[in-house]
Amino acid sequence: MTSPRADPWAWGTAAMAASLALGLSWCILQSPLTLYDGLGPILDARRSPSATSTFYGALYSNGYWRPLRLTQIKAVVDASGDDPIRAFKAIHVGLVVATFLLFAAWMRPRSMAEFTAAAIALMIPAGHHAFFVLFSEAYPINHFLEIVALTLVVAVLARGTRRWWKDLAVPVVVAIGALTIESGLLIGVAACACWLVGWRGISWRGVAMVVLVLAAYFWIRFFVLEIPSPSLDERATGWWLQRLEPDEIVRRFAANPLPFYGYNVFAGFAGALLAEPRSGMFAFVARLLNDDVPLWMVIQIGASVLVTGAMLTALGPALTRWRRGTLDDRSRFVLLGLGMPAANAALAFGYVKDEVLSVGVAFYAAGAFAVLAGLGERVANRAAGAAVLLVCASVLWTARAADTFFSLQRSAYNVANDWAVYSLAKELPRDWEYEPTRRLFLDLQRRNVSRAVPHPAVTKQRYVDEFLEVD
Amino acid sequence: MSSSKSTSLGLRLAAAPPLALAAFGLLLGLNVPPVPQWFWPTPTTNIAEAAALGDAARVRALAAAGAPLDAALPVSPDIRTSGEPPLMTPLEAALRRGHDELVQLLRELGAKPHEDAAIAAAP
Repeated sequence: MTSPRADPWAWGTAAMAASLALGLSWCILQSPLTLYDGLGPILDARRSPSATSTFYGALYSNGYWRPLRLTQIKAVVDASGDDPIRAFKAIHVGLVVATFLLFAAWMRPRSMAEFTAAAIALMIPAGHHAFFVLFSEAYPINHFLEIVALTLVVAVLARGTRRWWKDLAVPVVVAIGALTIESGLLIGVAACACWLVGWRGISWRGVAMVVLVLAAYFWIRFFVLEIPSPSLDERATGWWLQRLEPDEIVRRFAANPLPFYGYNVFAGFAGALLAEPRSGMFAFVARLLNDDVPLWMVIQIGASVLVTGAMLTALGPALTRWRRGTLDDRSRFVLLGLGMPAANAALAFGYVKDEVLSVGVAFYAAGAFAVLAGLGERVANRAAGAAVLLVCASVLWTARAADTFFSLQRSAYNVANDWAVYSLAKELPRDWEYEPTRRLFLDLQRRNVSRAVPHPAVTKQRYVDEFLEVD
Repeated sequence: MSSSKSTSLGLRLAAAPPLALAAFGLLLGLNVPPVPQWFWPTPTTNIAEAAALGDAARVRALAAAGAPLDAALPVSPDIRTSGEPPLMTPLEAALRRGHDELVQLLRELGAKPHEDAAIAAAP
């Protein structure tokens, strides 16, 4: 990026991204640390003698291969001294700020129409349900957010000028991501996809190395260490209008899991693009059948349908340009905006969870930027319909993003109460009996409940309940 | 000229909602009064009020700070429901609202039942 004077729209977008990230970060800093999924790894890290032993201990686990996940947590716990909350919060805020700034840098708008589109597109990561858990929870590092940020690093590098060091750096980033959580494989997919649509910031050599890293991952995981994918009874998930518990999933699909996996891919893709289903369940349809559709649900689906419809309209021309070798950046964004959610959904075939789709949604937001910029230019040609669509997309997506702020407040209250009533003696007796982990827990509990989190009855939430999905 | 103005107006209208939210985020993030106080009010409830609301975190935090567990404290009319007395102990408030986890928490913290158990048992 050049100077603000030479590139005002890009800098304006970056300022907007930073403002949004600051606001979200403020909410994160006021909130307690996630208890469920977050406390266990911190206590494990305190028990572990060293980061190396954590790494080797995490090399073999049933259904997952994530040795860097616990190693990162161990390193932070060791480095943070008596106050790991501050360190984990700093990491969370850093990742939020990095994600928004990278997204703004990737879009790089060049005109008023593109700036308007970028402003609306920024509302998508801020307001999409796949991103909410990335802001509200830390386990105690939100690795999904980490992967989104790393994927955006690769996307920014791919769209930029070719440099030799990028060919070396990107495979390393892919390896780090893949060894952290499975979604990290999408960093490699993104590098390849960016190359396929014609961005050459990473050369074919870099992409070839990425493919080698991915191949090595699969070979080591499945053939050397023999760590399979998670089994069917791993967790409950949505199935059309209902939620299936693990034993029910096994009963129905143990003989032939393909329909289940196929549904998960479809549900993940549709959820990313249409805000329905959520975690695999068609909640909107279920509530429609009961004549009980809340306004916030209409807002969420309306926002997604509007933008996805515009992207699907742009898909045909983009594919034609791709075949002819005349792709421009907007068409590239559209292809990636639909292709990456599909790849993300395919990788998440085992179970549907909203946050697993977050990488795909980041690319979807970039696709939205491209089609909304096109609409913005039609507004310039006095197309009233385009203006109406653009304003509607803006209002609906901003409502979803505003929802995130209120939902973070509510989530903070819920988590503070989780901490207040949690019994380590009952839940993790081994850690209660071990003096260092008991002391750490009591300190964490004291610090987390003493945060000034307001009860929902005294916040502004009561005025917006009908419009926003706060709870 | 008028075409350019209407163009600009359409784009500005579309950009306004995200810009307004970003401005809110900036003011919140920079702690500029009164935005944080408006959006995230500091709790002012006493321990009996917190118990009535089911706010376990505040109950635990206030108890740790030395709040009396067995004293009857004033409960704001905004928080009281009809039939509730203006003065309640935390345990009584939690019992009346049926916050079972909070009742257990208060007892773990050292609150004594007194006549609260009788109140809860009453129809």
